[in-house]
Amino acid sequence: MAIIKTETLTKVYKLGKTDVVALKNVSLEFEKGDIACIMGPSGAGKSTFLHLIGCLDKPTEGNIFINSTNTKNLNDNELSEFRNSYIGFIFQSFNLIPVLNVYENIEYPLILGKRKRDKDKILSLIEAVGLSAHIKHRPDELSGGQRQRVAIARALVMEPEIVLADEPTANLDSKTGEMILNLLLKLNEEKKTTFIFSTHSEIIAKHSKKIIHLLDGEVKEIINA
Amino acid sequence: MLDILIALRNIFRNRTRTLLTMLSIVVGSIAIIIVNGFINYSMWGLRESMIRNGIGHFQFYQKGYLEREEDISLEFMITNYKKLTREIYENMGVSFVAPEISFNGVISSGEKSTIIIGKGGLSEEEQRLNSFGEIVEGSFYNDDEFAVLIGEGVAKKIKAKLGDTLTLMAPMRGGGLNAIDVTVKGIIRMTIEEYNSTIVLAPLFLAQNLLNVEGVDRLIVMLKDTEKTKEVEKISIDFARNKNLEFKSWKDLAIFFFQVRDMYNTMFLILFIIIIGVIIFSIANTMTMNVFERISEIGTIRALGAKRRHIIRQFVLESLFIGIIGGAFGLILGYLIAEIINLSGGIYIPPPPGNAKGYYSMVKPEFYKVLLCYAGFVVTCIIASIFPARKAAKMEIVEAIRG
Repeated sequence: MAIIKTETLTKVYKLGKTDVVALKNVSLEFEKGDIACIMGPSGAGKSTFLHLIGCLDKPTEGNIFINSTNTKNLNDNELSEFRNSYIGFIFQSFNLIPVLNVYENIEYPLILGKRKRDKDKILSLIEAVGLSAHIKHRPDELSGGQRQRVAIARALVMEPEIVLADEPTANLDSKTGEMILNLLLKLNEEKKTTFIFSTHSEIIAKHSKKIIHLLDGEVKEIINA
Repeated sequence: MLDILIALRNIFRNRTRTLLTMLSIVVGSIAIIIVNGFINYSMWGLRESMIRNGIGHFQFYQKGYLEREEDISLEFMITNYKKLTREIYENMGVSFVAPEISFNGVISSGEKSTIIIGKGGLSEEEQRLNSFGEIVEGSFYNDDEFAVLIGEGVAKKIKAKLGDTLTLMAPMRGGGLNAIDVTVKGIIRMTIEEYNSTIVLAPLFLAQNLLNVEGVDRLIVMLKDTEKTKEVEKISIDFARNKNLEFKSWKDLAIFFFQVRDMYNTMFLILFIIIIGVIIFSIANTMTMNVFERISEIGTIRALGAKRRHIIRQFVLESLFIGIIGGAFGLILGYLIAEIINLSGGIYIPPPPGNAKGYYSMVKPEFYKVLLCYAGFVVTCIIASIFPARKAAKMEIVEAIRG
């Protein structure tokens, strides 16, 4: 059974008096443990798709089912809880909380979700992303690669079933990007977490089980590896 | 707990802006403390000067005295005043009781005369009762001598000097006019200008002889402490009822005090409102700027699962801490400045309208009022942050993440 299912997903933005169609009738399914890659040129609708399935935005038309729950039926508070419990996010610009150190940034989703603040779990995640020597460092004391590793640990601390990564290696050099990717692949292997990437990166695409090409908001091609 | 940590760290993210915002609270707190301290001391001074300029804390009169038609009447005399005085001492734990008789009359130096308001009383009690008055020449009379103290203004009007013999005239009970020669034993300066040009203090026996009465028209009671008024008032009312007397407290007699107090309280309230306005503007401005600078962060927190109310709480917490820290610094600095003013001898205040002399005002803030204002400032900070906080919470997550 699909962990994520979209039915005729359409998103239209209003720009003044003009309607801009960002996504048009996108119907897709992702299985648990998938590594999927959404590709396409800028403006194709990759980020919009990720935002919609991440419950960060609402579709103009269509339905999104996550674990059989139609997200359309959830109110704002329920969506917040849903995001916290089921979905982890990795952003292109890392988006760490600048006033929190590495440990606190990773701990933060647990507090938001009123979960047990499991110190051992946080420390093992920090170790897994190779930042044990930087626990007390704040984001501005870390390199880009280190920040992205914090973001990965933060995305995984709630043990979400789905991780959505929007251009996770775009702001990193190729070596660091590869290291980050390997880390994600390893986590996918170990925890069977579903990863959906929005990327231009061919390297990420090479490791994906499913590649979806978007163009002008429409699905042009689906490649199953 | 982490929310508190985030709030505290966030308020020091832009130190200059936070310090400027706190400064408005600090300055506001200092202003409140100094103004309140000044008003409180002035009100204390005014209250005590009225009480110790002859009003006392309580007054007892013969039944019917308060309904008399004339200003001064010799019809309602307390004749058993010595016995009543003893009983008051025994029952009420007061500082002292001054039996007194008031009269209108004329005092003449032979060459010049003037209308006076006379008071006859016992020497020791009258000295204590008029303790805010200052004997500028001579001394107080003894209880058994034909001598008087005259106000500085009276002396000037009739060109009287210390040791001069004057004639004191007043209508007796029954209507006739009586006159007694008296020596000027002292010249007194009362704090209220109007008294200075009319007051004559005479020994009780002299006043009784002059007016041809045996009693007194009031018993003035002075407490050890004005703060005990409420405590002793009830006993006094019962005492008056049992002894068929009438009773008035200084609160009924010092109407001027309450008028001035109300005026000062209004001024204080206006100042408080102005400061609140400045704080609202300052906090709202800071918080709005904070929201704009942290749009992406707000989006991220929302993406991680924070509810709208969490975002509101985050900004309100920051504002709350600015209020608490700023207000605390304001309190400390305000009390420090007040202490420095007090140690340097106070602020000189020229004679207020109707008063004969100026005074040095100390700054004695009322702690509960200052604390109330502090709480008011903190609450204001919270209220002022709600609008920007709501604005932050209402942001679309996707737009916020993009910054």
